[in-house]
Amino acid sequence: MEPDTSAPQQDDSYFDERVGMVVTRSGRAKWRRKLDEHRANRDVAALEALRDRLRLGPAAQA
Amino acid sequence: MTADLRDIAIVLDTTALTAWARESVAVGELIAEIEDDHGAVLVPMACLVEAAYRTGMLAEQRLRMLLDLPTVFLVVDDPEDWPALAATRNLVERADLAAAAWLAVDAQVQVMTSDPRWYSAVNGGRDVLTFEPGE
Repeated sequence: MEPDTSAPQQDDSYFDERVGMVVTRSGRAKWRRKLDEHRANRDVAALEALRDRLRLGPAAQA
Repeated sequence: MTADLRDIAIVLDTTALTAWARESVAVGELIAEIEDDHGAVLVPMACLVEAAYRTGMLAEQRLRMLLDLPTVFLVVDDPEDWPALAATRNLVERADLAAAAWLAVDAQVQVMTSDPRWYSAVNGGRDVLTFEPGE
């Protein structure tokens, strides 16, 4: 009988009481990478300029 | 910008809150990761109300559980931000999503959403963290 390779690795998933569900360490690592990538690559100057422009209100956007 | 001396990591929009209420693993994994990092997850009040409306009373316990997490902060709009919120509303076409987008721009973080199209006019749509609805 062939082993079921489609099943997730047992040690990758665990029940996280804080969020009340089974999560995976690999899934968490994926989100960590995405957060880090954005933090490293975000255009701070563009975001600050957008924030300042938005604060002027909708009339200033026209 | 910090919340309770935690670095703000993400803003959850209505789709992410709705997914949380339906036990989305993606949202749970992200929150667990941010909690271990002692970061902050922001929940705009308008998105919470819309998510509660969409998921009904059965999900209320899940939403309350979310708000009880030490990493999660419910954010009420600052009255002084109304011009910015109105301007952001023009970009995303919904008041709840405007609250999420504005918080994200102000904190220079991403909005977690299952529908990035709503945010395409906000800084070119570069500041979204997308998940699949069934993820």
